[in-house]
Amino acid sequence: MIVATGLHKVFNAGTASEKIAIAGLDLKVDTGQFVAIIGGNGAGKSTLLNLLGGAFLPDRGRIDIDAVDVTQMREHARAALVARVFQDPMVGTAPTLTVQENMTLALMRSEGRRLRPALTAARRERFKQALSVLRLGLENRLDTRAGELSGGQRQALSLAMATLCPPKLLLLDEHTAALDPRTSEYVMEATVSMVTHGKLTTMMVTHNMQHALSYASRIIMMDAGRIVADIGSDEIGGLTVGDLVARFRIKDDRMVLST
Amino acid sequence: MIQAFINLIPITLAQSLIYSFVALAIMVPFRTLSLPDLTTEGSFPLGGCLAAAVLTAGLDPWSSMALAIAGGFLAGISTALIHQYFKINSLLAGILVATMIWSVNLRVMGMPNKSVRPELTAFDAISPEILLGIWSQIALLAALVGLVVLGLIAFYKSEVGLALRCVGANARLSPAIGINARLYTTVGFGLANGLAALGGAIVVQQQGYADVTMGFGILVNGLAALIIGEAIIGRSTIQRQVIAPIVGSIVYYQLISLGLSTGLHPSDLKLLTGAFVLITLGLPLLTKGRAAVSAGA
Ligand SMILES: Nc1ncnc2c1ncn2[C@@H]1O[C@H](COP(=O)(O)OP(=O)(O)OP(=O)(O)O)[C@@H](O)[C@H]1O
Ligand SMILES: [Mg+2]
Repeated sequence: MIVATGLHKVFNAGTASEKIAIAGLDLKVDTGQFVAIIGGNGAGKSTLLNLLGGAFLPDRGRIDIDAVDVTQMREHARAALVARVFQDPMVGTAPTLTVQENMTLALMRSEGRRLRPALTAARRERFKQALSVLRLGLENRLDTRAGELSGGQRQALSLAMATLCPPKLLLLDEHTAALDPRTSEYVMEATVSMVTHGKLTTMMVTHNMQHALSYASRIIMMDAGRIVADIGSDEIGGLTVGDLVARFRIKDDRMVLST
Repeated sequence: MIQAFINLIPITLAQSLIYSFVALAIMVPFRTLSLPDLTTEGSFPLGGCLAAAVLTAGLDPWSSMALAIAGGFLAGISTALIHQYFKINSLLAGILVATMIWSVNLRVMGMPNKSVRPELTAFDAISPEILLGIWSQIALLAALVGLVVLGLIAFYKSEVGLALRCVGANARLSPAIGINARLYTTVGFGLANGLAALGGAIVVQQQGYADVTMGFGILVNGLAALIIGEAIIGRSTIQRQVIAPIVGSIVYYQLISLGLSTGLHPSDLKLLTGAFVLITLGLPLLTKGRAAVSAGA
């Protein structure tokens, strides 16, 4: 279970450009839950994910992952528990390293690194298996540099990397937003299949209301650094995109209404 | 004139093998970590001066070289720490450290230069014959460079080495995937400058003296060697990337020797080498056009 208590995050504190990004946020996410986070631009969605992943430390508050206090744990140490897929396909993979090398890095996220050969035949087999699930043929391109893959392929690779060793928390920040609609649907379906298979606790920021409604077991809406609505799975079933928009008077200029 | 060049080929070859440590030391931060480092200009003479001081004080050559490597390692991590904790540009941090090392070298040797008798050196410890014949020196140096190359390739292919490459390839990804980028950058700088210091320690034993000015211009020479090597060997695989500085160093110093023997004035060399580095680094950017430049930045 993921527990955030009284989280505060202020950017540029004490200056004219002071910005309260997270303003006293409490959240409990049960193990295996798939939470969609929606909300307008600047609502604090990315900041929340960055706090959970450890990219920033909160000014106040506390974060527990499976009863371990990780509040002060630095990002690289927290990576043993938390995996991420970023919005920008360029960020999630190392472009000058091959697919196999990228997957090896992902494997070491939880296993740690030692002075022993990184690439082994056994690992290669394991990566082939993991990548074949994506049905993009990446399993036959293990020696291709990630930089030579298309945006969608790279994002799929990022996803495979994030889920290779099941994390205690998977963070997805608009991870399909930079892709064309077809590729976006494809990566979304791959995400759902991996999350369901691995029963992964997942938090996904999205501007696509249909994705939130179809795939998430819980929808959280954020505004001004707070959670302003929390919809459980029993409620989601009956909702349409129109209901969602009307009910919360969502003013989200990037919202995607149709699929 | 050409005869003079041909006569010098073996001596230049031996020198270039030693200087290939410097080209390697420049490659590691520049290419692997994508964070250029100038510390080499200080760590190379530091290795030489440290080795000269302790060799003449009676320390055995192996411990002397180990000490030189440790000194270079320390210089490298100093630069990395200054860069990371004081938020000073890595180039400036390197210049600062290299400048400070100059004073350290004078203190260490107690004088601006020091001669090292052949019987104190590692060459002599292996076999007293070696320093007498240039080809035996070349064979020994080539074997050492070969070992370092193999070691470095194996390191880059290890889990730790792969993580080091990730730090340079994608700074945002590395912490998210569990890599302590600060630690890796620091150790990478240390490793590189340890190599440069080893080069300094070897050159002192080969030429028989150390001088506090022995690092002057070493960086631009090493960079030119690296660029030539990458033009010949390429850098598409990690093997090529590690071999390129060696090949580049061998070719570069022969070119310099050829230039000198055909009447090039030694004092013009720095200008020419600098211009060469500028052109090779700048030309691709100019020809690719503005869009490519900003995309690559
Ligand atoms: N590194 C930063 N420095 C300064 N201000 C920041 C930083 N990151 C975010 N902010 C500010 O914090 C607020 C919340 O930003 P955040 O990126 O979390 O919003 P978001 O909900 O992800 O928005 P979007 O939907 O546009 O991605 C914004 O006002 C933003 O300007
Ligand atoms: Mg955002």
